[in-house]
Amino acid sequence: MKKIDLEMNRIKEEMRVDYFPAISRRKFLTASGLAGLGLMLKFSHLKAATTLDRPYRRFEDVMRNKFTWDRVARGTHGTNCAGNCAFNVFVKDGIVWREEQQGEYESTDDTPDYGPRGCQKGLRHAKYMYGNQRVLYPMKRVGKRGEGKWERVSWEQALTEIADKFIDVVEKDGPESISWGSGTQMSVKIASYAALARLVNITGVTVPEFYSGVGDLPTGVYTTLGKVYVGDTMSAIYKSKCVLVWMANPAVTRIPDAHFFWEAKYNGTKVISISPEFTPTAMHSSLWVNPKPGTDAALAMAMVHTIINENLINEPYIQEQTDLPFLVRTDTKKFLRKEDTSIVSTLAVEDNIFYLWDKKTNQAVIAPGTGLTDPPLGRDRRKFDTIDLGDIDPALEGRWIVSTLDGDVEVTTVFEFLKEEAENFTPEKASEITGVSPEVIRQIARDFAKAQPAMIYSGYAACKWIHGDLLQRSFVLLLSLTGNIGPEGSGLQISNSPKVRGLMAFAFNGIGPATRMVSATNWDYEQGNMIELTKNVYGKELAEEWDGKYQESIKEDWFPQYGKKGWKMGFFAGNNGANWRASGNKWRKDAFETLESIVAIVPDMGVTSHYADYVLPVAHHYERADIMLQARTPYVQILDAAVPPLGESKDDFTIVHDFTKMLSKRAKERGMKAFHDNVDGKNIRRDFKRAFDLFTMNGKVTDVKDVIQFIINTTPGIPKMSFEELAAIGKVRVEGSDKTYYDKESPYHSEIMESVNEKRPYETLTSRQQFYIDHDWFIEYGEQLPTHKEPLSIEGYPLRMMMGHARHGIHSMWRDDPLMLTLQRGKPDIYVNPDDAKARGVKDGDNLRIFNTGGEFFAMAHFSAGIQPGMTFMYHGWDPMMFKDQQNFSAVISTSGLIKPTSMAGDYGHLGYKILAYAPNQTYKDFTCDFEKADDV
Amino acid sequence: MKNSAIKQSNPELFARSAAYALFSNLVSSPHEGHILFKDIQTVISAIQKDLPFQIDFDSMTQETKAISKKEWQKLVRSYSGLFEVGNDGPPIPIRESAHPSLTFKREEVTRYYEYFGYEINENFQWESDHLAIELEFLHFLCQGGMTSGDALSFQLAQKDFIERHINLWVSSIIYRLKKQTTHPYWLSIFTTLNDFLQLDLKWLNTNLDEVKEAI
Repeated sequence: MKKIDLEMNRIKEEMRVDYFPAISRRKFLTASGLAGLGLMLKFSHLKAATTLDRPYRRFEDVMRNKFTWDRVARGTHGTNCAGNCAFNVFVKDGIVWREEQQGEYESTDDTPDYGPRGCQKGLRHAKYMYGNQRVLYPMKRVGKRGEGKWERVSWEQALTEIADKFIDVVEKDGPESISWGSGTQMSVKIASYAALARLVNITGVTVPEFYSGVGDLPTGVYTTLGKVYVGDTMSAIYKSKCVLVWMANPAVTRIPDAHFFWEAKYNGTKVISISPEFTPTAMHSSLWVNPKPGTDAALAMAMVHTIINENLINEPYIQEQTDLPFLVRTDTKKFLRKEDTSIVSTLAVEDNIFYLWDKKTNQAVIAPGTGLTDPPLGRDRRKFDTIDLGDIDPALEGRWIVSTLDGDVEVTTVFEFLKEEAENFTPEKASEITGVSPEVIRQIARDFAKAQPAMIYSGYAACKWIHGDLLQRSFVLLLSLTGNIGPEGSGLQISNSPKVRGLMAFAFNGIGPATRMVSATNWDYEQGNMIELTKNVYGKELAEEWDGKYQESIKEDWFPQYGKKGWKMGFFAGNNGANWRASGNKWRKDAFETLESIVAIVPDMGVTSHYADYVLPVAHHYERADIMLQARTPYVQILDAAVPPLGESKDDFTIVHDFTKMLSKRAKERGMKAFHDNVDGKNIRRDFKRAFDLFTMNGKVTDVKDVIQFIINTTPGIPKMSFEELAAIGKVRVEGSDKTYYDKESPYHSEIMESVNEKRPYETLTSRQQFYIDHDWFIEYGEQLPTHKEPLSIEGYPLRMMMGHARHGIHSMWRDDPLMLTLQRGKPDIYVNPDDAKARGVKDGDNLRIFNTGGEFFAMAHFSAGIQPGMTFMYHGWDPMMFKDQQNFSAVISTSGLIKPTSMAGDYGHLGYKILAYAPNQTYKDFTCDFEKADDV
Repeated sequence: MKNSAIKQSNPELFARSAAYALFSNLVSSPHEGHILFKDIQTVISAIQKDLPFQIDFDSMTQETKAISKKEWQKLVRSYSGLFEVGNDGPPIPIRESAHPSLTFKREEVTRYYEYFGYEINENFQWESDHLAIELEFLHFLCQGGMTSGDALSFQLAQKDFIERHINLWVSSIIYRLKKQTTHPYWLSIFTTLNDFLQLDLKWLNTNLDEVKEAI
């Protein structure tokens, strides 16, 4: 026995990790008799013997006790569905067993209430978070990239090696050669995003901006209104009398809020769904209108034609709020500007003083509120000027001669030009383009114009067409002509992001802004040499013409150039970047896999992490604290950590915190010198040895809850309380949310309301809702007004592929969940028209090869009569890992090299590179393909 | 009752208990502490003679004899590559609920733990259905059978827990291991474990009849 005891002691010494508190272990080992054998138990702290409450005789006995909870935490799912649904999270023995919707929501005014909120994905998360897809430990690649061979490494090893590579790249190529992409999985968790924003501000690495990068940037809205964020609460739907659901499918994508549409319908609102395919939303709507894919703008312009032709316009509204009465020279198609009339003004560059034709005085007069210079720093011009017309009665129609420095020239109004443009889209002409009957077009135009208020509810799909900006401009035009931007229940309900001042305050605190943020679309175009893709798929002529404009824009300094230094190291946090790039394999091959080092920071494995060199595990939704603001509901939502992070995963804040600490440590150990960095002309001194002290504000910030509290304290509109108080109630209503649109006090407020209600100038060149863009490039391409242009096609391929957000996943999250898959067909499927399929000898359920010049992928044929002939439809988000050859629909979406010239226009008032407002979208719709039956796989 | 008294009074139960502890240790993550291969023989020597059935530990011990410390580090890495990390999760899930057909069995596992008072340290609660923990629970039940005065309850639970849980998926680990190119060390451990489980289940069935008759 003595010999064995000695052996036990030796074994104990060799054990690398000691998990038990010494006393409890000794007690147990003594009782169990295992100590004599040197066996060390690891997992429990238990009594040697137990007295049972009642004898055990069969397995049913363990089921007789009530399953009780140790804790019920407040939480939600920090994913980009904009739902912000409050959940109760039930915990027992350190495991989340189930979740339940938190139901105590209020309403706004006399509209239905917001709760309960949730969907099947959220109610499934307690199981998904324990699924096989979870990344539980830091992993290092040991095989070739993409081979799938990994080894588990310690956080210490992973962070040391990553920090060393980071320093290597910065010393050799500068911080701009490192990109730290943060997707929506992370950026919607405000404290996590604030932590990352502080890190990138300290280090100067490049942050690709994914709003435009995934084709979600409403540039058409910005072009017209000078603001991107224009949406109200979802309850505004109930106030509307006519809702056009256009480029959206809320029954699928807005599950917690779709009830507002149907409640409104039962209350008398006409809900008109406009989509090429018969969607679940269309199924429940008052009317479904199905234009051919990509012809929506023609339909919108035909509605404009009807509204003008039948004099259904709201004349006082458009006289005051829009540029439609502004005078335009017929010789140059340019606005009449003050510099046209005065040499002094030419010298003074008064190119933003515009004219109206006053019917009372029968002369051109300066439009009130124009001529404003850009606001001085910290001063908002909307607060000290007005677009109030006073005694002016602007003419909408007419032609006049005015005296200019060029002599007498004819002028007319934007409205006159608009009428001419609309003549190209009479309902009959539009019917030939769209396939929609002229009578239906006229009827929906009348219904829309006569209903007061009326709204257009739209998703981001419009932004994903090359000419989606034109469609959005026509949306706003429809609303504006009928006076439907401003009143409750009106407007373009497309997007509204919170103004979380505390986020940037945290990022810049004590440092100042030194962030290098870039357009992901442009970044990809240059890093992936996407002009070659366009040449291959769309032809040399188009590729070179558009690239010529691209280069001209850079030469003119309208947009920055990202191609000077190569991309060497990439971090992917909260995004699955290799999933959604619209370039087939090209981005993966030429921009992604050529990186010297790839680090994926993810909760679940996907194609991006598959190709990474290091995969760092992130805590899932119920394992972390954070705060979320989503403007569709008037609430702020908390995430409280219900259980500790699984395995060795950590929340984003902790990862960023620990990485920064390691970066400083290695910078000191390697004697890295401080360096000067030029960001947008600003000279920044960066010293990585101090990075950690800066990040923590000299030790004041040690936990994500410190960041959350900072954000609560410094963001107007969030009721002031402690994190603990907020965690106890789960959610709290924001200030300024008594109406269905948000007042100024709210963090979700849209400034457009002040322009409408208080007559403050819009932040456009003309200080109005601006429908006429007289930039040379817009005129060159015939896009000075909203219009319709045919979408691009790939020659020889007849079918247009449409896509949309899925019911059973949020982007790529939950797409691989086994239960969700049982609610679908169990594998990626593509909806096809039965006649198209039969013509190709395809039966429902067959394996299909979908192909074009760009590439091919395989999916199951899913017959649906709701799909028009000539098109296919596929719900998005399927990760390439779920497909044959790890190739998803991106294989045939070859649009990554299509940078629309007008999206790079600049030196024109509000138009020109402006991050998160004016930048080219990556588009996903302008292509065609074909399919054929493939061998079963 | 002192340890020696337990062992003397019921050497078979003690040996079974120790065997479950040994297997729990062997299939646990070596990243979190693990018995070293060269000590396996010491433990086996101490328990084998008292087990109520004959089992061949030779293949397991033979595989370990020739392994150097350096090779052990490779084995540690290979454990991760097999059981902890991978593109679609680890190639061989080592948690019961990670096997698709057994996802919903976890609640019952937890109920067993709660019924018998088995409490897991906070760090490991998330993987309460890890094979190592389920084996440790069997060890715990063996201990309870020796000391609680209610041997029948604890032995019935051992039988049910093996049949309703571990036995449902250990064989699939072996099946998947055979498809992998890896060191035979792991296959030898899981094969021996499976053999042990079958023999122990047989012994439990026989022994339970005797215990019931005695009651």
